[in-house]
Amino acid sequence: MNLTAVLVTGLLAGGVSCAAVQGGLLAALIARQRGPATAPAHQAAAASASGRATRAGHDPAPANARPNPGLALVEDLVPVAGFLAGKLVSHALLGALLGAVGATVRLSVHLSAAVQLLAGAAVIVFGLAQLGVPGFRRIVIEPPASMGKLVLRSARSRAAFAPALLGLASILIPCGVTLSVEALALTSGSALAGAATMAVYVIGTSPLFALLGYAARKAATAWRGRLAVATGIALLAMGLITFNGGLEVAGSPLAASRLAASLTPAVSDTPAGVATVAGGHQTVTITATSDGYSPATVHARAGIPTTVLIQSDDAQGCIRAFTVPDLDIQQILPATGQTRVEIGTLHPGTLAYACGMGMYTGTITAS
Amino acid sequence: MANTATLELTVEGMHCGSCALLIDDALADLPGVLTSATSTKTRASTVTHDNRTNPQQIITTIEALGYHASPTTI
Repeated sequence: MNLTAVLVTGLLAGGVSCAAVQGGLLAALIARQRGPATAPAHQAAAASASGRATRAGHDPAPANARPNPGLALVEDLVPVAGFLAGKLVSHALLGALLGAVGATVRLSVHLSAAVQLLAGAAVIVFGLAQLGVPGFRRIVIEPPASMGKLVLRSARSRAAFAPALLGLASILIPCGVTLSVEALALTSGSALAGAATMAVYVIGTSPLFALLGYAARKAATAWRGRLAVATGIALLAMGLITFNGGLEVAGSPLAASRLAASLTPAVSDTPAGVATVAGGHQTVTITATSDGYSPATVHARAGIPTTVLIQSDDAQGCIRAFTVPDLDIQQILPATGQTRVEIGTLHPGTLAYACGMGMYTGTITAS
Repeated sequence: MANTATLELTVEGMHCGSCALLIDDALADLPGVLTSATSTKTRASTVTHDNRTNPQQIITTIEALGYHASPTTI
């Protein structure tokens, strides 16, 4: 998976979903830590966000008002940073675990595709449940009561490290978007890629957490009730992308790239490549970059032994897992360098290949 | 000490487990609330309280977080 896409997911869907709710827990924790509040912590937290300007006006200043705005900013952001650090550690560790588990089923392209199809289907079901579609409404991922109590204890602690503890514990209360990124980590192919997927996702949520932790808690309150629909749509989209990735890796004719090719066979954004033939053997040359494979289609001859020569040029993420589903081939490419993959004698027709997550695809057509 | 009562509420708008915790955390800060158990799965909150608070204050606290709460009708 391209980590930029994970970052954007964190920045938008994950940030909104996580920050609005977990940010509320964090804001109340910070309000409680700052001594005896005149109002319950959740009200104090909301008031401190909206009331920065009004403190200078007629509202009575709270007992813990801080005259130095620079210092106030630091004091506000330190617990947010502690929370995010805790969250980053626990999520990266889980990502590594999921990636390692996923890697054990990477032995076969088809098993890998099956895991991805299951993960995609699960995320789609969560999305339908979130949207309240009849028949799916009761499907909700809720942590066991004991875990919930553990998180709540962290949120109500007055210890200096409580924000970091809450961040660590937040792994126990994943929102739907986080669950779908966990599914991506599972299909990422290695512990390192799984850890990177989850870490980049948490980093993506950071700006909104910082913003909500400091200035926009009132807005978060307004969003919360509407988040079910927003996260439901985000989940459906991510589930469909993951599921289609599974179809691509499985080489299914129902995969989006194959459906598109069958609908618009003559239209292509990039010119097709042509295999080079020498001495009764042909070579199909493909370039792999962080944007995908090019050319998208290469024309070759049927009936002669064929080698695919892949030129990696700063290839990143799942693009490095070059997969030919129909031949059950998966070859891990270097970030930069050349890789030769022998694919035998081509039969007339189209041979599809994809990245390890089915997000980037290409074809070799033999005639 | 004051008499205790149990309030059963239907809560709409929760989208993940954190929402239920957020509600329980906020209710724990409300004087008079003795216990609360909120579930995203059942979309419900069970609150025991004494007479330092009342059902309307409890509902207002939940609604201030951005959710919709109403007494459960059986």
